Amino acid sequence: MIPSTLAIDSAFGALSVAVASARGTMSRIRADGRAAEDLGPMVRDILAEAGLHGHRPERVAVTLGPGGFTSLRAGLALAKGLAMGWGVPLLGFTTLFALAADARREATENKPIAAAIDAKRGEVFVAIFGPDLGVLVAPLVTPVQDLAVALRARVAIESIQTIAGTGAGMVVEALRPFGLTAQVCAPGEAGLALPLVNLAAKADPAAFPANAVYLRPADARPMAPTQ
Amino acid sequence: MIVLGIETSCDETAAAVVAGGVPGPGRILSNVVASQTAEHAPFGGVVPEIAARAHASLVDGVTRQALSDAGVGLDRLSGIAVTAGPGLIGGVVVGLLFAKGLALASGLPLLPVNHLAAHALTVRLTDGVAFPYLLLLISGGHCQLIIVSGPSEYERLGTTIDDAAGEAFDKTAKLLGLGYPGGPRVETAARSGDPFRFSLPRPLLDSPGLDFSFSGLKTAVRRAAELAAPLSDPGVRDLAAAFQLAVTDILVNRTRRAMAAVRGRLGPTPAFVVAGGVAANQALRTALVEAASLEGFSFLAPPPSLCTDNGAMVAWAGLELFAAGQGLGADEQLKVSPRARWPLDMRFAGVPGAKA
Repeated sequence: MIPSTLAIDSAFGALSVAVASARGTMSRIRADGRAAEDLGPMVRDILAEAGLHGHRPERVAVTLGPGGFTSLRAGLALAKGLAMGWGVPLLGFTTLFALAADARREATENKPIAAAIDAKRGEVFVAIFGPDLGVLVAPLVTPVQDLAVALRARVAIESIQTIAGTGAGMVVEALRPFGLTAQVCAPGEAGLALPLVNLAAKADPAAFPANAVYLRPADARPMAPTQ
Repeated sequence: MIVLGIETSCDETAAAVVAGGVPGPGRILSNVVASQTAEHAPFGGVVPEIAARAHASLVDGVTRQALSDAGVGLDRLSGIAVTAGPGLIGGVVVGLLFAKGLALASGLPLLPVNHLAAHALTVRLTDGVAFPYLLLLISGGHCQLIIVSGPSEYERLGTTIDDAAGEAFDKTAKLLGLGYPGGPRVETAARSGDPFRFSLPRPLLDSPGLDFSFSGLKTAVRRAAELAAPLSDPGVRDLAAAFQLAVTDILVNRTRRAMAAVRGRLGPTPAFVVAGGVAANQALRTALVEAASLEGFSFLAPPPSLCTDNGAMVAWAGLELFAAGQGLGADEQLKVSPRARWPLDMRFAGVPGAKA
């Protein structure tokens, strides 16, 4: 029997929560929610609905980014508090991993899955996973025009079967000249918590520590030398 | 009552456990502060995104340490207090959401605390001072004179119209190449300087009212440094001393004026309290002690370690709210918003330029 698990995602605009337990899996999403105000009540409500013993799961999972800095930290901080309060393990997953997990439901062949997020400023966050969701190319940020160079050394571009995420179109455009034939996978409507929750229930907590993944340095410049 | 307090509104990730009841004093069972000073030093000031990242990675470990140092589990607590503002919003979000998670999981009341109230109430934690009292709150973000009449009752008498006192110290330190954090650096340099070699202005000193202004002083420091360029090390120390004396004169002048104005409202033995990070400055403290004595006020200030940001003051402020029955309902507490701005005196909510 799997341990009952709560998953939380607030890395992009939408907020989603999901619970997996012996009684099944359920999820809730709010497209226009505000993480700081709405995520707590969403967690409380889904735990009540899921009917867990003592409204208390046996582990917590959360997305780590890349995503909006402040919103991903809201989910991460809430998850840290919940896990400490319940005294249960906390597992962290990148949003790219969650996108790949989501895309896997449509995958028909045993081939790599790419996840890509539009990082703005002409850049893309990207990672590539095997059909078992093992990491082939760890999450990185790169200008779109350098994408082929960044990936070719690590993965056969023509072997990629599926691409998910807001950056999928950018990746297709950049990699088609290099033999990419992958299909773009439309995002599931349930958000990122749902594709994570069953995986998190079975994963080894030690392999998924909950440290935020920004992929970009903080926006700050060293102070100019004093004149 | 035993309350856990969490503070993440600026550049210290802090948590503490405090026990006691009103009016205090309370007992600090643990007080853990993870300072990020080193991370911000290369930038000459607090970088909000660097601070928020550090809070997100440290907040759970610091809280665990505070509970473990205090030797209490969550089951022994009456509530979880957390700074919900004012401050750098990225950091406030981290502390507030972490505390919401802890409260939801443990079933404990969440006590959202105003960071300024936490500074204002610290003397009740340390000395059990009775309401009402006159407070000078001087920190990196604030400079205010306030009458404190209850855990949620504040009357602002005056505030800075431009820079905060601590901000003036930081900017002066940067200008003089003294590094960061500016308060202690300027104080150290000033100790061996001649405060009378440079003549600096005391803005607003002759005007009525109880407001402060420091930006003209900062400009005057820059001009004096330029006129004396190249500034030798003794020159830097003299200018630091002149600056610190000017700030002290301004604060003493406004404070004495406030004491004269409100003395009759504070009972037979009026108390004057100074709090906030700048209150750790010894020269300033000495001058304020003398001012209080001249005006017939008793002087109280938390020890320097409780003047800078810490979790104990937040825990205590939460304890005061809880004791006063000012906690929130279970539904309400999960929805509490983080606030970048949150004036203690609600008459000034929404006033442009009023940071707090």
